[in-house]
Amino acid sequence: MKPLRIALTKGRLEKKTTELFERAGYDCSGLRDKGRRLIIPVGDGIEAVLAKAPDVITYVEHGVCDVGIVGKDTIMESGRNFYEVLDLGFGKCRFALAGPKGLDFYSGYSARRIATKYPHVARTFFDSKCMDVEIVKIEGSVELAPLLGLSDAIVDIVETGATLRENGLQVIEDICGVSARMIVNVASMKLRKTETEKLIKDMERCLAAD
Amino acid sequence: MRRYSRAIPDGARDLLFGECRARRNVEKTLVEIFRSRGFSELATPSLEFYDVFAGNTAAMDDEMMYKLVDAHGRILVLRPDNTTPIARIASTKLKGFVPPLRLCYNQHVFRISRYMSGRYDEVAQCGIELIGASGKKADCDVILTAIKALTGALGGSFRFEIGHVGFYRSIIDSLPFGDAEKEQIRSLIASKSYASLDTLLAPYADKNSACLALMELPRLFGGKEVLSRAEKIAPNDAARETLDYLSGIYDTLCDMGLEGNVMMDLGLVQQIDYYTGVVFRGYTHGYGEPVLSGGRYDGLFANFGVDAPAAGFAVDADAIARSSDAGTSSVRPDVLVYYAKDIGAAYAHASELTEAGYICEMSVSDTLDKAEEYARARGIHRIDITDGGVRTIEL
Repeated sequence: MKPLRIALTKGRLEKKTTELFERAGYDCSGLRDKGRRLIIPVGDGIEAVLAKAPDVITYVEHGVCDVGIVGKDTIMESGRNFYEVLDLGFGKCRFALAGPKGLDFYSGYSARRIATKYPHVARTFFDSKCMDVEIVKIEGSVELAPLLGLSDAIVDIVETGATLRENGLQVIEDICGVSARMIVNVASMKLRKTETEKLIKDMERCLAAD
Repeated sequence: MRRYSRAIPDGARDLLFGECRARRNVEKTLVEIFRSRGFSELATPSLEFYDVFAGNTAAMDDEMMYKLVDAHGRILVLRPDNTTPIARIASTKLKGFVPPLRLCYNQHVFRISRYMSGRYDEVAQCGIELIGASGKKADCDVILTAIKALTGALGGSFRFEIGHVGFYRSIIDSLPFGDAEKEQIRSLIASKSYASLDTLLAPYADKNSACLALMELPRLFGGKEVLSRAEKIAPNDAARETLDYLSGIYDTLCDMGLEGNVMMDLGLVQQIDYYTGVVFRGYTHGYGEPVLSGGRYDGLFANFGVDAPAAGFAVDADAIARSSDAGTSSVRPDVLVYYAKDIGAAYAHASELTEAGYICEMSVSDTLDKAEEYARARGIHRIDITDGGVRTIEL
């Protein structure tokens, strides 16, 4: 039998994910000391790959990875067709609309311009308010856009709000909370029911113990 | 040179040799199975009016349909789905048919997929529709034809899952949720978001058996144990009736020795506005999405002014062809036939060879030397020269 393949998000979620798997009793020595390997064995019958968040979704949607650990922010931006079985509870932050202090965002008739790394999330949010805004996709440090005068406001993930405050910005409105999720390919869930269910149960047990 | 003259559009692809043969084989196998069960094939136009597909229960997002404008300014679409055109035909040209009507098709659908998602926009689909019949016998016939199709095209290596939207519907309809909340709950069940569903329903769950049943719904997939668990949590008679019906079908399939391939999922609520009864899907290893999907959609025909129950399914012939190992080589002839003058004798000899089962190619070279050179380059090991009796050269 092929090992169950799990795609883990590199970076922000990586450490917490490893800790969770360890607490659930999986051998993560390979993850702690991965060297240059791209596919890493984790315990018996499971192997992990580390990928950027949107790639985790791509791998799971196509079924080349059975399971993925990825942030709800990425799921909202680029996710479509998979089972989103668990909220793992870590990597907590929120999507928010933010702008310069003192800006009355909702006043006036001229269309606002929004800079964001998450154009789909921003579009959905403003569609729900029936607001026509101009959305500009920015790849990093979105806070810079209103400071430079490119946009009126930003839609971004906010953890503590410290970066916003330091740059004279403030949250105008919270959009929704996000956290790390476990996702499963639709075919894997059915074709490899025993293995995926065991993994889900192990994680659930760990989360319940917290 | 024009910029795109040597390229093909995103989401399109060429099928060469082995891949093309593999797809044709799958299509042939499936259509033969459908025909052998009394389904008559039909073909519908690739271009249809937008109105056929817009605003009915099968409607897909505007963003997914390729649109064109005809000479009169009317909007056309490249067929995004096969069932809707068949419903159009059944309710117009075949109106007044003696039910049940058994129709099958083998043609492509076109859907715009997300940019760079690695999906194909043109999908070869083979499927059936059983129109004008409902009940257990009709559902079993469609399901058994689907299983037969997967067995024929894939051998035994597939998983077939069955659900019934009636179970979910009888529960949600007994609860005082608004449309937006219902849609949110449905979407969480469809995506098996266990935790989010628990969080959403927890405030209502206290002592409410219907809410508790909803919370368990996404986990209700598997074998026989799913039915016994579902019977325990079914909160009303409508839900219990659905379960009885579904378990009747499941038992029938098990009695026929299909237990190893068949499972149930009561959380199959993906297209709740379209499907009205049993729903099912087929999966195979190596392909991350269903290769077959179908169910009962008794509401579709009402869009075309006819009241007829119907059920059917579509198989993704491309996906099945890809999961089989077809190889990629072109056809290599067994024999190259060369002649200098007597074309009649050459073709008579070639006919004898092909009748005996050889793949036989006529040489178009002007000299025997050139014919030999070609045969070596193509890897053909035998040349038959037909002038004045047949002479064979083995290479």
